[in-house]
Amino acid sequence: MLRARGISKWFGSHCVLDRVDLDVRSGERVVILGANGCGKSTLLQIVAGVLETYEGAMTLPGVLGYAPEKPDMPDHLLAREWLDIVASLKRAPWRSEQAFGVDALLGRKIGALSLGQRQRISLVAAFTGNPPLIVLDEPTNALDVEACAALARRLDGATALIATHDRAFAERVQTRIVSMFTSSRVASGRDARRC
Amino acid sequence: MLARSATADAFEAPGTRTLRSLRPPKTWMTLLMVSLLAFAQLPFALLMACGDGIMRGVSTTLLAVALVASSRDVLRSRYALGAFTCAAMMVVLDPSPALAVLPAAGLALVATGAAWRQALEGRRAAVRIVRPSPPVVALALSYLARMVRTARGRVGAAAMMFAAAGATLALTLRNDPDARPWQRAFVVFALPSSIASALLATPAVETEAQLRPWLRQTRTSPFVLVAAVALALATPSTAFASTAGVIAAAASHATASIAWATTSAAVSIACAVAPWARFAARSRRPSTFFLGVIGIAVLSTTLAAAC
Repeated sequence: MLRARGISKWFGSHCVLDRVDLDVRSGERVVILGANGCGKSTLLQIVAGVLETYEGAMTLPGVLGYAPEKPDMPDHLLAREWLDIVASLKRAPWRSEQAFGVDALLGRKIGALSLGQRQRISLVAAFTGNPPLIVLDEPTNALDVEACAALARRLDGATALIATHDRAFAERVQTRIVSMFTSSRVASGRDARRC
Repeated sequence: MLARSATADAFEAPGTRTLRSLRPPKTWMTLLMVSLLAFAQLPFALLMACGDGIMRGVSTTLLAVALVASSRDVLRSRYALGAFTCAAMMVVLDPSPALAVLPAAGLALVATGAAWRQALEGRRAAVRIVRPSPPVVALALSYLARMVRTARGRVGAAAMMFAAAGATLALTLRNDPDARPWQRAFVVFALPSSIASALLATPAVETEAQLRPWLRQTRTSPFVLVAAVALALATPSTAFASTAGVIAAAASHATASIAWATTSAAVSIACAVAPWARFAARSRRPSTFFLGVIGIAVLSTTLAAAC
């Protein structure tokens, strides 16, 4: 599904990722754990295509579903309009995710939504078009307990790459956990291998 | 009321929540807000004061403040509705400045106080603009939504540019309606179209920058991005330019097909400004964009004059 080899990323003279290997097989939900600033979000942004310049090789299944750490959506749009734009770009209709409780938010401007409500909209956008791989960066940030449970249920059977600090959520959804350390030295996870 | 778009967000500006949490005295806040709203009316106030004296300038400014502040919440607050009605009646009746100044001050204070109380309360309904559509159209609609909802001042300024161009065209056509009217329409509309497109380009390019992570993850092609910005710039330009062209033609008894020339000028210039705006957004120098727009204006004027 996803095969990345020797991924390195430099911001100026600062090396954020140093020859990272990563495999996500179909049906796997790989959770990346690691300290702040170790490069989890950078790795996910490279996988999602948000960061385009990096060293290494990557094989992807096509357009992914990506929910960034900060749901940075245009404040001037209605939530429904935002989902329409994402659906138009993905050329697939968006489905109202009852589990995330977004129906009541659709007619409101994104700028008027709380952080948790934005996160829900961002998750619906990520799942739009049933992408083959879901990439979620800190998806439980600002989500309440019910929404976290709904997200975990939604991920059942999906292929996903998730970065989180939420251990309980990670344990619930993972099929494999990998750890990243500062300076992007990737250590063994549950299956004792480089990620 | 022209200043309304500039002052409408004064009551909900960034930092308002923090300011309210500090519980400033309401009287002082109302007086400060009246001063702020009056500041936006300063050019008109000076004009009135120069023509009819200081009292006229003051009373007109205060009435304008009352109208602007009360128009925000005229459907949500009885005080705002009352202040708006009274202020509108005073404008219609036009009493002497000495009689009007005190009621106008009272109305301005009541309207501003009501607007301060109502700010941040409730939700404002927004008309849905973006619909599921091809990517180019969806992106263009999102840029237009930004222009309409948060950059109304720019849209208003663009409309005024086209109105001025239309008036100029009407005057020149009235003098001599038959001497190459299309060419003159192109020449007259080149500079205003360039400035209007430049004004409208900023919100479009800023929105695109905000959407960039999503555009990259969906592998949206650069052609679609350029086309979307061009469509977003051309839409209001077309509306304004065609309207100005039709009115200019009617006012000068010239052929109505002049509107095609004004519209063509606006669309072609919008299509030239769009890729330049995207290119200049990556430049570190803010002057790059303005120099390019000036270049486009000069080039299009020269080409139109040479044809």
